[in-house]
Amino acid sequence: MSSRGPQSVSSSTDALAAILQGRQRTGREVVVDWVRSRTLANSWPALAGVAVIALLLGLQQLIEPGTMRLLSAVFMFVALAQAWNIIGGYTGYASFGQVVFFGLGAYVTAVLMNNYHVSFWVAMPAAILGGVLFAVLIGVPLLRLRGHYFAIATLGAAEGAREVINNMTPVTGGGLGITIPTFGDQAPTAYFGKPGFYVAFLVLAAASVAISTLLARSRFGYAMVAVHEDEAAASAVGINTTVVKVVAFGVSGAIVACAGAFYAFQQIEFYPTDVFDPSFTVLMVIMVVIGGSGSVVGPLVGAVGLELLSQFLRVNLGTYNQLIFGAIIVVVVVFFPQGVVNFFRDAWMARRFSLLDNIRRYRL
Amino acid sequence: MIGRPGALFAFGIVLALGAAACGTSSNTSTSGSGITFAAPVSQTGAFGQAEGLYTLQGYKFCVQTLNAKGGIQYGGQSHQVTLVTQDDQSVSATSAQIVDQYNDKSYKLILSPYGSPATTAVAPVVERNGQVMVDSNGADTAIFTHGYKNTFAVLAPSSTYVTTIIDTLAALNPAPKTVAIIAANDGFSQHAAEKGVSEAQAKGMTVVPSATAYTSSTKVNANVTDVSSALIAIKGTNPDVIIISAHLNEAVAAIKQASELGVKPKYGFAATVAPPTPAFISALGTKSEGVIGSTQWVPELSTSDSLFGTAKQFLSNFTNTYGWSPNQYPYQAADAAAACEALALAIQKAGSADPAAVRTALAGLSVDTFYGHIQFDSTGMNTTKPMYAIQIQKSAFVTIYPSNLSSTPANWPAIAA
Repeated sequence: MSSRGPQSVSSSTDALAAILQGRQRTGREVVVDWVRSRTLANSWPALAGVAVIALLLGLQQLIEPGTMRLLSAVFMFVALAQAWNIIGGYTGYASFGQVVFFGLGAYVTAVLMNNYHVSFWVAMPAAILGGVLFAVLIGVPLLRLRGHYFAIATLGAAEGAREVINNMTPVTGGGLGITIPTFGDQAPTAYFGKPGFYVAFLVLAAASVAISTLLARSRFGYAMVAVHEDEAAASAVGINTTVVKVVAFGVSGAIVACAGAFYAFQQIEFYPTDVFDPSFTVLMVIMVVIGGSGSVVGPLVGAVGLELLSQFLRVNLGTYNQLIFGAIIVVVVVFFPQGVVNFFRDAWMARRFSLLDNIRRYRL
Repeated sequence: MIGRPGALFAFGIVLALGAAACGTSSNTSTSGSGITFAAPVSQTGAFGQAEGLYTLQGYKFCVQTLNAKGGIQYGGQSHQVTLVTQDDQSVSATSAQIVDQYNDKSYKLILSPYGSPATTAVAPVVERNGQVMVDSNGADTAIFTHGYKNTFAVLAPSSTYVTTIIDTLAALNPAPKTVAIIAANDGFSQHAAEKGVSEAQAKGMTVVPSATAYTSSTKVNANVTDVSSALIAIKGTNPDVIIISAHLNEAVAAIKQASELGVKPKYGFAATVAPPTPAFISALGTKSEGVIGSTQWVPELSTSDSLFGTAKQFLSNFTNTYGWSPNQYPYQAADAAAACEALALAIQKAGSADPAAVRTALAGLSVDTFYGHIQFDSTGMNTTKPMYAIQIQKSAFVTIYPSNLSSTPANWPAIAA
């Protein structure tokens, strides 16, 4: 499941030879190699994923609609965290403006459905396309920046995009908000209802985990990690780093825009401040950092854990819930600077479970 | 949706058994089943420290008073009310999510969250779930344009917030000839400003720098603490009065920054939501002196009801309970208490806590209360209720409009020449 893990490739020597020779394999070769390389050892993540999805679909029959809505939010954050991890974790470009794709996805969907009575099933792909195009548009110039400069530039891009949407009142409704028609004959697509959105967000989360896993194990995934580790060296061995960065940014933007599209339809009515809220980006970053960046399981654990914790504290702690939530995040980051999942993986491999050792290793 | 009819049926049985148990155990047979009012309220986030708190206190005070007076009476029994609330963290989507979860628990009687955006998010949820909501603090008329049948607002709509200020100013001596309107870009503030411009023109006032400036040069982002761009746009036009159609943060920023930037209206400032809140005075100190504000409620109202008594009695009992000064009372709490009272009156009228019956009773409600007259039009708005205006004088709210409710004259011009 982690980014390290060449076993799936090395198990087929033909495939490895093809890759080493830089020769393109035929489609048939790829399929045959893939089938031959399947073993229980390398198939269990996929099987576990299918089992979890089946379990969650079964769980849906047992829970009330309001709980489905809560879990829909958890699934959405799984997708958002996976998306952020692609650009921030694997590629090492910490974007603090990823919410821009969420807002754009939401607004493309709402404007098409409200102003032009377009079906959601047309509006949602259009939102994804919009996310990809915007990622390329801002990615080409911004991905030349690194570190803090890139973070600040993306933050600025998100704030700027919100203001543009805010001031395009005739099209977007601006600060007056926008409403997706969902009642009666006015609705271009019948409202999904809470059970429908539960399934929709579950599929989105599953798809984002699958995309992340496939990327991580692909040649492109290794290129992303290479850019992360040393961009100059990656470039020196022939990786087109610009293409890698822009594609990673685009894939991430596409997933976030898709989440924005579903979110918009679920909310029905919203304002620019709702869907361009920087706290979405902050949550994506925190979920990935706490779970463990640069792996598929880390953001998954971070998103599920933090969203459920946040909901639990909100319901049970009243006024102090956000304070306690913040304190828990600080404590977790201090004790698990590399992320919870990465800590346990390393601790398991090294048989060293001491948290104090861990802090020393990363801090001293 | 699997399990919903079953859950409702089971809940009905539990209610019936509960009612029967209470009926047999009580000698007087007057204690009926309990009723739950559920509300998502901001306890943290942007509205947590002021507006959300005021709303929550209004709901709590209402439920406390209702229960102290024996609960809601119908069917020969008295029914105690339980208030269930959850923090929505000042996030609209969370408000909507909470109301969905209330529906799981068969809490069908909803009191609104604070503010138009959250109420806007909750209204379609209430509609789909067959819940019924009384809106206390969401005044944006847009909420009532979607044909929702289950949302009723006790407060006067957004269209009257700036028009009331204009009417107040027109009755003052000297009446302003020019006004500038700074408006936040949220739906509520923009709509209030739009109606205000028409009213100002009807009263012979000139809106500077232009009649549409509130949509461009004097428009500011909602909830910001920097409105200098709007003030600079106004600076050269020397208006008699600057009106701020916005919430607390923007209004406080406008008045603070106006003095820093040397923007001085000839007569004074006025604002919609902010001045009649204790937080406005504590944020601005002496700079709040003389600012005029439109408000949903003033204690001089002559109407009364059997629950809270007169408006003055409400003020005295409420401020004593929560430790507010009677000179600086949060009117949002009166809005909240009135919403809760309207819901209770509708249940009493319906003789049932069934949401469909309560909805029908709300639609036909026409009562005088400590809050004024409550009656809903076909869209769910309380269009019969006017707004009022106060001026801050020596850190106290003084009612200055309409003249029949005002005992102290306005201090005008509020700014020394």
